Amino acid sequence: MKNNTLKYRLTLLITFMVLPLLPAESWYSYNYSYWEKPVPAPEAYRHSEILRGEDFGAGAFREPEDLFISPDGDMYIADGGNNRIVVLSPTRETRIIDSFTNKGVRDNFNRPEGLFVDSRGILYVADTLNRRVVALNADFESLNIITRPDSDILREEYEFFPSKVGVDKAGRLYVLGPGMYEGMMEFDRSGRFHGFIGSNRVTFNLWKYLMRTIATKEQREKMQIFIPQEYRNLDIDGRGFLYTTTRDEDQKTPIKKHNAEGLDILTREGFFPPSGDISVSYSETASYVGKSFFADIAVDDSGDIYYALDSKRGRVFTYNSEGQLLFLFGGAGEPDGCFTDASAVDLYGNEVYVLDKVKGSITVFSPTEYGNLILEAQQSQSRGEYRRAEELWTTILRRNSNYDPAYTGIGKSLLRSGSFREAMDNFRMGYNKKSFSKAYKYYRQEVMKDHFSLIVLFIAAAAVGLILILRLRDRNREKRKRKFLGPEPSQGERILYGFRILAHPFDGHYDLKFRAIGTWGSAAAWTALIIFSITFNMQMTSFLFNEVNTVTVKLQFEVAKVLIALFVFVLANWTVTSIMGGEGSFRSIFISTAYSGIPIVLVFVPMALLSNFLILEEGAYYYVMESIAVMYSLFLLIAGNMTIHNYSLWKTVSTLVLTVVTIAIMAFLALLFITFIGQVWSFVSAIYKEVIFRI
Amino acid sequence: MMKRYIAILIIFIPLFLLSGEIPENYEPVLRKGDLALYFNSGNFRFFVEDTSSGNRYFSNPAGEDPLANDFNRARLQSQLVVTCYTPEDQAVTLDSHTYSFLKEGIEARITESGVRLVYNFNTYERGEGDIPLMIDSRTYTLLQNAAVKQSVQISLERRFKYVEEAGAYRRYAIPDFEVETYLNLFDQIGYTGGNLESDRKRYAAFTNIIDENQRLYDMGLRINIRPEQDRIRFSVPVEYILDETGFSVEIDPAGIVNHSPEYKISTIQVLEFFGAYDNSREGGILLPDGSGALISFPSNRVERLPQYRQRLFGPGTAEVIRESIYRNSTLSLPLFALYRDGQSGFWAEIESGAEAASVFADTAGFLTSYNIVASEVRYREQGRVVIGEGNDQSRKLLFQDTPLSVPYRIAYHFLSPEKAGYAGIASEYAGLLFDGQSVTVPGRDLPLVLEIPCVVKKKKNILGMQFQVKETLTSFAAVEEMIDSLKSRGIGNIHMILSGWMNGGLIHSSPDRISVEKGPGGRKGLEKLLDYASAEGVEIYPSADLKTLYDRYSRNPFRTSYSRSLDQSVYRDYVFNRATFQIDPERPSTGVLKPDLLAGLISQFAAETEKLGFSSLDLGAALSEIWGDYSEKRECPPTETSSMINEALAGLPAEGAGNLGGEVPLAPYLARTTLIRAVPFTSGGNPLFAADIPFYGLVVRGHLKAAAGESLNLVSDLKDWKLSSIDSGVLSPFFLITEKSSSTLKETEFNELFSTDFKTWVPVISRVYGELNNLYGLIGNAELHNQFRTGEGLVVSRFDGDITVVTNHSGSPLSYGNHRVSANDFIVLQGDTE
Repeated sequence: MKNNTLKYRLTLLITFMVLPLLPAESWYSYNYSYWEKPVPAPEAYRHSEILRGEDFGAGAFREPEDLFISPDGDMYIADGGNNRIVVLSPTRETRIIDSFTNKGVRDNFNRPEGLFVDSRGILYVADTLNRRVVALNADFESLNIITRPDSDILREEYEFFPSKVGVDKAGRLYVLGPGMYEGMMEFDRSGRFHGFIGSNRVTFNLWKYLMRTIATKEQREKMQIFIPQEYRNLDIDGRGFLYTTTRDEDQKTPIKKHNAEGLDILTREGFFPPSGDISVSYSETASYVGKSFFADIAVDDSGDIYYALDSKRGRVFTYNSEGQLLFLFGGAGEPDGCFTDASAVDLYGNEVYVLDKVKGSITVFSPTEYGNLILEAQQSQSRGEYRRAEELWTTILRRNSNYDPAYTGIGKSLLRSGSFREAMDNFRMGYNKKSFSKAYKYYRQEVMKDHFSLIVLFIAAAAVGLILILRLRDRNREKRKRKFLGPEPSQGERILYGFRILAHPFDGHYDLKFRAIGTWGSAAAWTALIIFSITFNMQMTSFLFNEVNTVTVKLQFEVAKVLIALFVFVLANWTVTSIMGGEGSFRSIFISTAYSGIPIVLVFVPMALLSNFLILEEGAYYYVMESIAVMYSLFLLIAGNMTIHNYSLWKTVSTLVLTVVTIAIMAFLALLFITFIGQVWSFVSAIYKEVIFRI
Repeated sequence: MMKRYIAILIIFIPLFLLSGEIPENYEPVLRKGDLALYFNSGNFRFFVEDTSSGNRYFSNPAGEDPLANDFNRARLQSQLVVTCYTPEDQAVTLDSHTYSFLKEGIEARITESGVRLVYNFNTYERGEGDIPLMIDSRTYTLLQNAAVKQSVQISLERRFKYVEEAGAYRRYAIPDFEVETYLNLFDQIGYTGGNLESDRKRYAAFTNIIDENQRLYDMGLRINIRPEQDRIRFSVPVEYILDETGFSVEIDPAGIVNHSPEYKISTIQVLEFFGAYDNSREGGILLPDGSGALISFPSNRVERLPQYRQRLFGPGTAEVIRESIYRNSTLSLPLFALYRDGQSGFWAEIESGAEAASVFADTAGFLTSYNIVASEVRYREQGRVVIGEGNDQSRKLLFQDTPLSVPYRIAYHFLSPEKAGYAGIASEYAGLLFDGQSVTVPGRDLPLVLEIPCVVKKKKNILGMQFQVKETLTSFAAVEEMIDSLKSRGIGNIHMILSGWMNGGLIHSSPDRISVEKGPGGRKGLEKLLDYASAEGVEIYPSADLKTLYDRYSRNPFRTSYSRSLDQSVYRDYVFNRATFQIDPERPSTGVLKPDLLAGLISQFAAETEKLGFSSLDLGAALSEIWGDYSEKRECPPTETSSMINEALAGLPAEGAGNLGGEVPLAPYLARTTLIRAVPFTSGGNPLFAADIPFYGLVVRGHLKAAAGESLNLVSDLKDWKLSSIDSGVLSPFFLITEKSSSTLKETEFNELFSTDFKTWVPVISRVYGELNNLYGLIGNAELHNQFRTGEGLVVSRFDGDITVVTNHSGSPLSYGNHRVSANDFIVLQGDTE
């Protein structure tokens, strides 16, 4: 994969006489935002050429499965349906290898599905239906033939059907095939089997597990068993790291980078782990359902960028070494530049070659101006040329303000140049929390240093103010106490009584119920405050600690969520305690529950404000304080339940557990009801349409 | 009939005495100018001869095609292929050879202007279908009385059974050998066609559910059931006309008679193999897909690729689109062409009924040995409705109530050898379309086109309360500064399109009444801008989206101004998720204005803008698609839409809306347009295409005040854009720019405007404009003689004055003769000098 692209392209253009379509600006070109939404983007790659077997005298390909481009530009195609290997040189010389010399005798391939050429020029072919891997020299004479290893670690029933092969710089051969659940087969240079490396983990699916538990024996036999998925394809970078893809919907890490021990060391520091499309449809009517299926992967020599081929939607996802999605291109369907069943991908220079098994063609993608900018910026960053990288990122951003990695690229450069405030702005735009925190740390130091005396003065003034307030409060304590003991406390006093509950949970809840201090109105006020503080928290918490898209927060949903949760809890608790001899009424349960949320009100609002002064490393303060608030609210809830129902602690805990169970049952019934209503609606709608359109 | 032919022959034979050798059995019919029409009364085929070149264009290829199977062999010999739908929604195709010619159903008449053929499909002869499926008891008794023979009486009892629920007798399948007996029996009792029709209607609810298989099962016997195609009987009159304007084909839908109304006639393909070429010589099929696309032959086609088939003028509103996987380009020009490079060929324009037409094409080598391109007309618009959900889902086809009401006419134009190429066709077509008028002024600079969005509404959120705030992207004062800045860079010919300047911004309420947005400067600011622009000689086009209806602005809960689809639901345009191809639930869908209201709205918008002092108008996407409204109460099919809009455009005051802009105006509106801002550079892409060609650009070149390609600042490859512009004969650069940075629009519904900052782009505007303007000075007014692609991929355009422009879209330097063309660059040759 060297840089003689120019020569290669020129030769192809002149010789194949394939007229490329003028490039089309794909309407669906996109990238993903931090919020996992596809956002418009200019095309980074565009198809420039379609190569078919018949264009260079090799006859049409039939179900070609694999593609490999050697460093000197020779393109090898595993033309499985024709039982041959086709080699296309940069000078358009075509060689067809449909047989080879095996110990002096002519031998043939039987549906070869994978191939690889090592640094010594040895061609390894996964001769799938012949159940062997064939190593051929430059004259296509067999050097070695590897068949099913005779080893104790192989299952007795295991059938050896090698489908993909790869060889690292040390000459170790890695073989993949169906049913190879234990990982990749590793052979040494002489073809001796060394064992398996890098097994996939069994992916646990709770739903499937539950279904399996309740299924009959016959049904279980028909179900998929929980076994690790075999790898689908592999590639090896210049440093000898193995990259693999797994074709499994449940697999959380469909792309892996393996070290020599087979451990997955892929960096996943992008917005989401490299797994193709994030926004997918599960609708029954959709043409493409579920997650991406990676058929192949191609890594550039430096290992800085890798291209993963999603055969489901024909897209090539391009990630950098940090696992950040740089761009994607390709598509599903018949038009040129789209794929029906993309089976392999490889690189030559900056060009990407994609093989389509059904169309029997190879599509060449070349970077656009915009794509070249991204590739160059990425390379500059990797080489440590930060100034150049910043220039490029800035240009990219001018071309696409939706491109988040560019904000980060510029931010990093600004950070290095000491422009912390500007760096923070860029990191925020690019949703890079880690770097934002770093920039903010320096910025905060700078501000502290510049305004130290002012800040000290402010803290001192605040401390004095607080002391004065507390003293004043102590002076009025007796007076307030007398007033609270009065027969008719005002609504404000009833609300403020919540603060007493904080310090005296049992007495407080007792007073709420038995001295009738708590009312519907005061409880509603606290409920409103809880809603306010939760919403405030969502909106005002620093972006470092906030996982909510503030633009999409809707007050009506937040109100509904809190009110429904409160109502369901109170109803469930009232139902359970009515049976279990509880003394609390629906009203008293509601009041006690609403007052129990006071810690949330008191902590969430100030912590949201405080979070804006914290960096990631100090996040513990924020999380601990919020956890304390929630825990204390829970404690108040238990205390309130004990008091109003006149329960022992054990009985309170057991009724609360039963309350939770009741809530689950209510949720289940509600779900059933909603489903039922949905089905009734669907039925009525279908009848209506039948009557209107068929009769 | 034969007498008539003989008479015609006697009259016309002298006219053809000087013609070349006439193929056997063809007789001359008519001669006009350089064209002569010959007809074969034996097989009802014809050919047109271009006497100036001697080229002949046959309705059907002669001889046997070894590649074609029976089905395709019949198509090769047909002039019409009609698609019908059975009551069970199954599509059946009937070719005129099998179902009309072989059944002796074609009636021919020589007319003053050519030949009129009536294709009677399955010539009407009475059969089982004329025996009612349900009859009342009285009719049954009459039949019993009329049946003299005992065998007939027994048969009557077996074939007719009483159905309690209907209170009538139901007929079961009648074997072929008994059909005649029953027809006679019904005749005897005086049962007429009127009775048959009335019984059909009366018992429709029962007869619809009687299915053939059930009848067979009930009967317990097997009978030879005729294929579905044999049951469909209809007539289609076609006129092959040769007059002063040339050769044309016309179907008058009023003359189409369907004798089997239970079957719906859907589409009619016309002259599929007319002038078809085999693979023996090089040539091309021109399709008006997006920018234009070329299918080259001979092709190396060895696999089955789907035939190209696209409807003209956009998808329409008959059916709501709920998934969008492919990008289909609009076919804005109603034409297609088939030619052999530099030799012969034709281009055909659909002169009438194009709104209901599709173009289809196929290459030789798989189904037949011929490269073909032709058109089909939708006799009834078709849609689908989904009934039920999930696994119980089924689809029902829906058809437009009223069939096609305008004649479907295709005019064929035959090419001289020097015009046999897409550049030649573009020039001929433009000549017809613009009536020979050119607006290009020698010496005038290349126009620069800018679109300037002024205001958008953005979502804001304070403590969970969502509301929308207006964000001013560009103020009117900033537009003045932009003009200054561009003028100072030597750009004199500027056309500016203001969008989002009124009624709420880019997403705006109906512009029947206009309220200028205050954010950019309000009415006063706008007036000041217009004065300034006028002084500086800058044209300003106020733009509005007239087609789209936003629910947020609709005060009418019944959506009476919205177009409806065939299932009578309000038609919706959805925004699709780019990753899943599914409807994006977070983006609101929009409605489409009824086409009959659009005409009125255009006039109102023009009047309102005129009041504000504008002398131009931009109608955006309203001119880029033709749609219909299928509301039961008042249907407005697409065939009526274009004439209504054209009437409205014709009624625009020349002063107020002298300049008319649009995105990619369709052919019916092009003659009235003065500015285009999105001349397509690409087609929708299809595996059959060999190349995209700048056909649309070449057609409009030199006939408008300004024609610009898609916005330069939103494409991924500026160099490629520049080259595409040059291939189109140097189009105006078009930029979509704002005063504020486009990062303002990040994470909003306007994030497609991801690179619009004027300050960033002004140096590029200046550079690109300078480069193109220099070239425009050289070739802007020159006639383009020829354009072609070399084997290496260079695009060569030859202009008047021996000027040749060669563009290289590839990433590698290439040679043209002795000249080297750098990667992604172009050269200009005067003679052979660079």
